[in-house]
Amino acid sequence: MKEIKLLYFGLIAELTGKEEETIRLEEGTIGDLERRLLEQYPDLASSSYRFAQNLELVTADTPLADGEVAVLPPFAGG
Amino acid sequence: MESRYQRHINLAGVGTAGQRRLSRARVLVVGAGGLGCPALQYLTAAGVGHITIVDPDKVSLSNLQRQVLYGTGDIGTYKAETAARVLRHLNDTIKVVPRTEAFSEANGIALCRDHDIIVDCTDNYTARYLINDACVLTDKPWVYAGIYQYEGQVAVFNHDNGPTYRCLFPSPPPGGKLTNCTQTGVLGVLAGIIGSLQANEVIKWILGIGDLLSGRVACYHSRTNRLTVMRLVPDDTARDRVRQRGCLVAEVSPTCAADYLLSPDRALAIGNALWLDVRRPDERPLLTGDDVHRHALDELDQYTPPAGRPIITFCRSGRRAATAASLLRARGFNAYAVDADIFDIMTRRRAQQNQAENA
Repeated sequence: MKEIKLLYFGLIAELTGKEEETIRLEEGTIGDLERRLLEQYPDLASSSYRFAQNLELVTADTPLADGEVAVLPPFAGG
Repeated sequence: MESRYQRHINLAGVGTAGQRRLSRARVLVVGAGGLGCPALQYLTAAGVGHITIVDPDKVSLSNLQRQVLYGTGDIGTYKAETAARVLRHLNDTIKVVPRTEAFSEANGIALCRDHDIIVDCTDNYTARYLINDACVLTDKPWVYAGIYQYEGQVAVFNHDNGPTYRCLFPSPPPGGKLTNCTQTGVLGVLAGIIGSLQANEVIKWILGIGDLLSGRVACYHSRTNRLTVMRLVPDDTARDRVRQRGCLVAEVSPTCAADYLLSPDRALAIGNALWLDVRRPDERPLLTGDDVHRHALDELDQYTPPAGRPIITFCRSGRRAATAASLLRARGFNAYAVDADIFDIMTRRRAQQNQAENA
C-alpha cells in the first residue's frame, strides 16, 4: 500500500471541495490514481490538469511513489 | 552625479553594465490588466528601454480593484493607451508603445520577432497558446502567469530549449464544466504579487542573473502563503508540432459560461471561422464575403452549419447573436457570438482585410 498526500490547486480544489487529502492506494501508476480520482470526483473529467509527484510533473505511466501528488490545472485569469 | 538607477548600479549583479542591458531591452507585454499593471510598473521603473503594450480592451469599473495603473476617470479609455500615458509619467527616459489590438494570428509573429522577451499577462487560453506558438516559431522566451481566485502560477517558457507551455498543458482545456467568470472573484493583491514575479523573471533574464523559472512552475497560494515549485521537463514533440505547423492557429477554449461572447478583435483572431449573420432577412446585409452566411435566429433550428469550422454569430447589437451561439452550442457546434454592434464589427473586419491585402 502507498500512502499518498494529494494537493489540489485552483479549480481542482473547488471540484473536490478540499485543498488536500491523504489516500491509500495499492501499487500502481499515476494513471491508476487518476482513475480512482475520477470515480470519486466525476466532475474532474471535464477539467484539464497535470499531476506532479513529489514536485515533479509526471505522466500517466509513472509508477506511484510514497509522498505527495499535486493536481495542477491551468489558470486562465490575468 | 546621482542616477535614477543608482540603487541598481550599486547592486552586485546589475551595475552600470546591467543597467545598460535593461535600457537596450525590448519587452512585449500582452495584456494590461491585473498582471500587466504591476509587471509594467516595475519594468518601467527598472528602465527597460522599450516596452510595447498590447491590449484591445477598455478600462471598466470592476477592473479598478486590481488594475492599479487606472483610476475612476480612466473608465472607457483604452487600457494600452492609458497605461502608456501613466508609465511615461513614471519614467520619461524609456519608450512605451501602446497597441489597442489583441495578440492574434495576424500580428503575433511580427510582435514577437520585434521584441527580446514576451510577458503573458492575458486572461484567456486562446491568447496564451498563440503566445506560446509565436514564441516557439520566433525562438523567443516568454514569461507565463495565470491567476485563479487566491492562487497564481508563474513560469518561463521556451528559454534556451527549455519546456514550453504545451509541455505543461498540451492544448486548451475542453471547456466542459464552465464556471461563470463574472462571478469568480480574484484577490486584487494576488495579481500584484504574481505580476511582480513576472517582472522579476523578465529583469533576471535581461541581466542574465539568478535562476529563472525555466523548467519549473511556481504556484503561489495567497491565503496560505504556500509556494510550490514543480519541475517540468521539455516534451520535444510539443515543440516540434508547433514548428511543423509553421504558422499561428487560434484555438478557442471557453473558460467560463460567457466566454463564447467575444469582442470583435477576439472574434477576428479566430482563423477559418464561418461568420453567421442571424438578423432577419429584411435587415440590410452589412458584412460580405465567402465566409459570411445568413440565417435568421427564429429559423436557426433548420440550419446546419458546415462541420469542423468555428461559427461566429453576429447581429445588430449582439443580443440575438448570443442566443444563437448558445443554441448552436447546445447542438454541439463550436459557436461564438460577437458581443458588439454590427458597425463596429464591420469596421474592424475591413481594417483586418485591408491589413491582410497590404501585407
